[in-house]
Amino acid sequence: MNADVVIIGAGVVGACCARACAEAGLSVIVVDRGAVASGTTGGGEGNILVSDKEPGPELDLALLSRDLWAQMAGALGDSFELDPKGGLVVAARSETYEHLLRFADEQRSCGVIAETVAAWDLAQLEPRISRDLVGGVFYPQDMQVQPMMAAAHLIEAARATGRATLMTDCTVTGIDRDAAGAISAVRTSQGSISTRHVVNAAGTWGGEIAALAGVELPILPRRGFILVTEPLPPVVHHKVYAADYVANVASDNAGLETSAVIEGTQAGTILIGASRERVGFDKTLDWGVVRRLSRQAIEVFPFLADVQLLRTYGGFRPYCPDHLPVIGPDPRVPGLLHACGHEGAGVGLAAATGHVIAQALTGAPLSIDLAPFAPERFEASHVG
Amino acid sequence: MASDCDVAVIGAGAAGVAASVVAARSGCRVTLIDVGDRPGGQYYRGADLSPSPRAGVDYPALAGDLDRLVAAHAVDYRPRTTAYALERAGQRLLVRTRGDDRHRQDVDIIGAGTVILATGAFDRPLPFPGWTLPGVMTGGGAQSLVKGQHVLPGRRIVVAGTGPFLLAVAATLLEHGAEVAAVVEANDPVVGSVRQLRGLTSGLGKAGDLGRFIAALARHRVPYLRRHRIVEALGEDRVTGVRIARVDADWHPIPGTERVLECDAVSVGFGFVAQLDLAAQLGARMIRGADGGLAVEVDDDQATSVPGLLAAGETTGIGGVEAARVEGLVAGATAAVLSDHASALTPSALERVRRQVARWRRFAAGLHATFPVRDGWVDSVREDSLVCRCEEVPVSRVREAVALGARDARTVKLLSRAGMGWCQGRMCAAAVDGLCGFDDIASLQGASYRPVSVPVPLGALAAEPVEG
Repeated sequence: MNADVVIIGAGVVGACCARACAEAGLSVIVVDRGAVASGTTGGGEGNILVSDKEPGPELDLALLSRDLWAQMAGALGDSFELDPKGGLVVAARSETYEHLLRFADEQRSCGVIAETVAAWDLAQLEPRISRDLVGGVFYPQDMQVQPMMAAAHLIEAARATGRATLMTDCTVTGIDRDAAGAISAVRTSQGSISTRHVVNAAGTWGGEIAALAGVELPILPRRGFILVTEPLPPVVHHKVYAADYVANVASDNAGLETSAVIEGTQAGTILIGASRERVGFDKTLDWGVVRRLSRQAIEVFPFLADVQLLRTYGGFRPYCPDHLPVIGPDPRVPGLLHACGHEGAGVGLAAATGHVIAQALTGAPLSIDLAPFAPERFEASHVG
Repeated sequence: MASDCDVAVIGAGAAGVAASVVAARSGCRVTLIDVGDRPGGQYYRGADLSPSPRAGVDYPALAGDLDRLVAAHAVDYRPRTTAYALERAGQRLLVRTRGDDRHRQDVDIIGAGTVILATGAFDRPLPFPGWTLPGVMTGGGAQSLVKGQHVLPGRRIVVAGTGPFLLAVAATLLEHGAEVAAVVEANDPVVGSVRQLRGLTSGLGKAGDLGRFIAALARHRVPYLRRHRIVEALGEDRVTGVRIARVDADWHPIPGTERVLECDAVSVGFGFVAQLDLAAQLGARMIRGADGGLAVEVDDDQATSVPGLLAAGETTGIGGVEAARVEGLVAGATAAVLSDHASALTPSALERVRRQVARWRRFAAGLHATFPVRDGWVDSVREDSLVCRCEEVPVSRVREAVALGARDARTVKLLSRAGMGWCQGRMCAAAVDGLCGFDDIASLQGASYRPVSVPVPLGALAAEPVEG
C-alpha cells in the first residue's frame, strides 16, 4: 500500500483533512483504530462557534472555519444537518453581563457579529427563557452540525474523488523514518503503508501518535458529559449558554467546572452541556455532574424541570497547556504534520484545519498564519 | 431523602422475591425495588396466587414469606419504583430510583452494601414489513394486556416467532376467549412425544404448564405451524392479516409456500433480551448466554465481577422462572454472608438449591439449542421497513451507516439514530445486529450501555438528595 498522505484518525478533523487533501489531488489513506467518529467527535455537540473565542489566533481560525463549513454543507447537499441557528449568550448577574458586553466589544473589532440583547428582548429570541436574566448577546455566526454524520459524509466525499481510502479497525503500530529522519511509512495492524507524509489527526490520542514518530506533544484529556432529553417540538431555537461558559473554557482548573449550554437538535432532543474535568480517561458517569447541569439548565430554561433526561454521553476533549490546537508541519520530523489538540472546538475548527493542512501539503499559500499553532512551541528551547 | 440498607434487591419477580426472603430471614435489612404494583414479575403478574401459609422455597411459599416480612418491616418494599442508575461509592453501592409519576420529590438514593440485580428480561422483536401496524405486538405485550388489563389484543390472533413462550401466549389468549388463528413457529422442535416437548418447556414455567398449553391448543384446534414464519403483516390502518411462508432451517422462505392468514392482531416474539443496564453501568463482566444474547457473568454464588453486585434470573442468561427462583435463593444466601449474617439457608439446603440451578441452566441451554434465531429473517425486510420505531429509522438508513464506515452497533447508532430514542435501543438492537452482521461481544456491549436506565425529569435530578 502507498499514498501521498496517511491521515491518522477518522474523526471530524481527519475527515476534513481527507476531503481537502483529496480535492487538492493527493492520494489519501485514512486509518482509524476504531470506526468513523468513534472518538471525541462522537462525544460532542457539533458546535461551530465564534461566540466563545476571545480575540486571537483561535478566533481567526474559527471565523475562517465557519465560512468553510457553510461552503462544504452547500457542496455536500446538507447531509449533516448544518444549522446556522446562531448563539445566544446570557447573563444572570449584572457583573457577568458587563463582562460579557466588554468581551463582545473586543470580538466585534475582530469581525465577529455580536448583537446586544436587552433582558426584555431575550424572550423574542427564546420565548421560554427565564425572566430572571439580566441580558445577553446574540451571535448570528454560530452554527451547529451533526458531527458524526459530518465526519462520515466528508470521508465519503473524499472517497468519491477516487483518491481516498478509509481503513477502520486499523491501529497504527509504528511510524518509520528514513536515514534523513523523514517519514517513510506507517505500520498498521493491517499492513505497512509507504508514504512521505503523515497527518496526525488523532485528537485526544495525538500525543501517542507523535510519540510513535519520535516527538512529544503535550495533549491531555478533559472530560465532558452531555445530557440528552426526550424529543420535543422545537422549543429551544438557538444555542443558548451562560456567560460563565467562556471563563470555564479558558480556565486551567483541573476540578469540575460546569456551565449550562443548551440547544435543540433536528431530532427534537435538547442537548445540555457542558462539564469540564481533568480526570484521565474515566468514562463512568458522574451523577454530581448531572445534578449540576440540570440545575444550571433549569435556571436558564425553567420549563426543563419537567422534561425527561433520556440519556447522557461524553467524551474527552484533547487539550494543550495553552488551549490552542496543534496544526501544521512538525519541523522536528520532515513529513509529519499535526492536526489535533482542538480541545472542545474540534468540530468548529475542523474545516479550516483541513483546509490549511492541504495547503501546507501542496505548497499552496496558507490562508492563516500557523505560528501560534506550531507543534514545537511546547519545547523548553522554543522561543515563540 | 437518602436511605440505607444492607441489601438492595432490584426487581420483584421470582428471583428478586426469593433473594429478598432469604436475605431478610438471615437478618439483613433489605430494600426491594420493583416497577410493578405488586410482587411477581413478568411470570406471576396478575396471577391469582394465594400466598402459601406453609414454609418452603416454591414461589407461593416465598410470596407468603415476603408478605409477612414486609408487614414486619424486615423488607422495605417499594413498588412502582424504577432504578435508573447504579453507582459505586467506596465500599458501598448507590441505587438511584424514581417513582412512576413525574414528581420531582420521587427520586431517592439508596445506599447498600450488596445489590442483587434481578431485573429480568424483555421481548426480542425482529422487524418484518408491516410490523409497525397497529395490532402487531410483542408476546410480552399481549400477555400483559390480557393478564394485567384484562383486554384482548384482538378477536382472531396469530401468534408467531419462535420458542415455547409462543405456546404460553396462545394459551393465555385462548383462556381469555380469543380465537388463535395459528401458532407460527420458525424452528422445528422435535415433537415426537408430548413428554419430550414438556421436558423442553417446563423450564419456562411450573411443571405441567406445557401440558396445559398443548391441551388448550388441541381443544381449540389451533394449528401449530412449525418451520413457518411471518414474511409480512397486511393492512392499511391496522393489521388485517399476515402472509406466512414455510422456511428452511435457516429461516429463508421457501418460494411458492406463501399464504395469507386473516387476523386482527398479531403477537410476535423471538425469545428475550436480559435487562442489563445497571450491571453495564458498573462495568460488570458480560458473557454470551446460551441463547447468544448478552448476560452478566456470575460465579456459583451469583456474584458478578463487581464487588458487592450479585445477579440472579434472566440477567445471568435467559433461563425461565424456575432458574430465576433458585438463583435468587442462592443470591440471597450470598448477600447474607456478605453482610456478616448467618444464611437462613442451611448448608445442605443451599447445596440442594445449587444443584437445581445447575439443572435448570442445562435445561435452558437445551431449550435455546432447539429455538435459535436464524439469519434468514433478514430476507423479508424491505429498505423502507422501520428498524428503530422510536426514531423512525428504516433499514436503508442502517445499511447506509454501514456503507459510511460503521463496523459496530454504537457507530450505527451515531450515524443512523437507530437506538437513540425512548426505548434506548431495547427494541431494535437485535435487529440492527442481524442486519449488519455484528456478532462480537464488544459490539453487543457497546449497544447495551445505557447510562440512564429509564427517563428521569431534569427537575428531579436537580433536586436529587446528596448522598452521604
